[in-house]
Amino acid sequence: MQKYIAKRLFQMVIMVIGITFIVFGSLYLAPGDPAEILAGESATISDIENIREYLGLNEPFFVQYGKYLEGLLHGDLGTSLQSRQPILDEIKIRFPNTVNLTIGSMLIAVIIGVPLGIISAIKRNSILDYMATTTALFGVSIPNFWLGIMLILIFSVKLGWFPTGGMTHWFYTPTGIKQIILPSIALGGRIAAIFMRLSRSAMLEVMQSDYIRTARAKGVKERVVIWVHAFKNALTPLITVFGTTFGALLGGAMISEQVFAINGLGRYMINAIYVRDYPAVQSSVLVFAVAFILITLLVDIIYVLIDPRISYES
Amino acid sequence: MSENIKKESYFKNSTKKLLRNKLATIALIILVIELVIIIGAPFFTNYDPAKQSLQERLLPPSLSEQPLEDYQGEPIRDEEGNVKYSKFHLLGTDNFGRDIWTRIIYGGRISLTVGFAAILLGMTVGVMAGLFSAYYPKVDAVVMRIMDIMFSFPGILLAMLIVAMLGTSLRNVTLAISIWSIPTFARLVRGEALSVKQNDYIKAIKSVGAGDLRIIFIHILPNCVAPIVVYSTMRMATAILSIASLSYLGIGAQPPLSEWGTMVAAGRDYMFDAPHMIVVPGVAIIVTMLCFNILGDVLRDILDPNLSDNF
Repeated sequence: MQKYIAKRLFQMVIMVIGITFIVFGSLYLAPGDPAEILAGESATISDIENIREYLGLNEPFFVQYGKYLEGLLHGDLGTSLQSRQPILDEIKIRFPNTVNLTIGSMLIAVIIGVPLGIISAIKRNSILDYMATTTALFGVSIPNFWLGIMLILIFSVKLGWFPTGGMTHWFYTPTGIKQIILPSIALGGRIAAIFMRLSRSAMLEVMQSDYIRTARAKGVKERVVIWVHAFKNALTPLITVFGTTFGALLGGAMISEQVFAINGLGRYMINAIYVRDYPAVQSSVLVFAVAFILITLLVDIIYVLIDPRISYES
Repeated sequence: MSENIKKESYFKNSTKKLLRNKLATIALIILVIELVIIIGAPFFTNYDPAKQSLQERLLPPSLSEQPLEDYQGEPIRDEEGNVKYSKFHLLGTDNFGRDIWTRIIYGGRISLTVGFAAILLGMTVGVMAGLFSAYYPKVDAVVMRIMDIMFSFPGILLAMLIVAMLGTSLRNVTLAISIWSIPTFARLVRGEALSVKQNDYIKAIKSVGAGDLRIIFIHILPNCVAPIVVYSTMRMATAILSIASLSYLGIGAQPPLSEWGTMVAAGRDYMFDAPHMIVVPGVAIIVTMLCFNILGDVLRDILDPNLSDNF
């Protein structure tokens, strides 16, 4: 087990280095000279040259990359071109909001998706099942930005139940719940649909296995068969997707943040793209990607912990 | 005896199975109709998607001509004092008085073209990578590590990074979405090709002296078609959604170009006065996504039942 975790940690380090390389290298993809972009339109040639010297852009690529990595290790994500503030500080303010939104959406997805999938697997081919599968089909087909606007229109504007946007409190506080429900449904609705479909098919598969038949044959109550015998085993495939969906949520958060005017990392990144604040874009992507890798790692470790059948040696 | 056995090609057989499924048939018909309308857009509308007509702004969907009003809500009259009527706008008009039906069908051109182009590009590169990785272990070691790193990046982030760095244009969005699809195609095809490679007939062809490329493209590739078709169909839905999302965020198609996501974004400011500006393009996206998702599901059940739900 420890060996497995050590191996995964090592892999993670390699991945993170790979990502810093992509993120750093991407600046070189940008058309035009970074120094020229930084200097603005009214800059003279000597201004640009000074900036280039100041940023170390005259040095070879790998020297620059090494300096970038060194900076990262010291917690230096660079300076925003727009606000001239350290990017780390700007991200520190915004990232909690994104985490908050992500957790809220995950909760919505699990609370709605998993039970619905299990019920529709148990009552296969019933009206309930058809309704649930149809809803899930719509769930994966409705764009989240559209769903978000519709939710605002109906529940905030027409009915006045929830605020139209903003986020000031954590999801477990009374104000926080009101603020987070609509953005979480907009973001987590699609994931709920995916969870529903997955748990339905996993449950159907488990219910057909021999040990369920044996359990029934020896007279175990159906309720116990479903929740004790089948449910646990149906859970395992769900946990693997948990990690990847977290990534989708982090990525999709920017849309929900934009629709609901939440001051999160996604919105920060979008704004940075608008104003061509390249260092801010790079750092946001880096934070998102590292968060994603960490979650995936965590999920993988939980996975081997709860499912002893998995050999983590290989 | 043997001529009594009806021979049916794999393709024909699969198509039959597909058409036996009512839902899939409906989805297919809707998509074909959509495609016809989108390709022949000028034949299905009398308007220009970019032509503004400010007197006719924010008209709701209607089956007939509507009386025109000015900004104060007073009816607009011509010289003789008669109330002026708008032209016929089935799905209403937007904030610039542009016909929404026209913009929807011209917008569909962008969504479908970018979607097709992105999938085609991503598929070609991914399939090549997968095939060569499966056939040459040395290529495998390098290519699959690169794919692993690409996998560790949430797709939409990768797309945004590319668009942010290269600039917001449809070409870059297409590129971003296609790069995002490469690793899954590569993995899918690699797995399939690895198992096909084990077959005796491959060894037989090899022993009669067929070249590597011949084996890869003529004998292995055709056996990998099923998962490629299934995944491309499912991916199409994601691609269309991504284009719309990026455009909604303002980093995809740029106004005045009509695109479904851009149209929803434009409707945000008018959601109280003219909710149809949001509802109509939204419905267009949902219908298209539904059709591709249904087709993808059914194709998977027919062609490749083992393919997992989770991409």
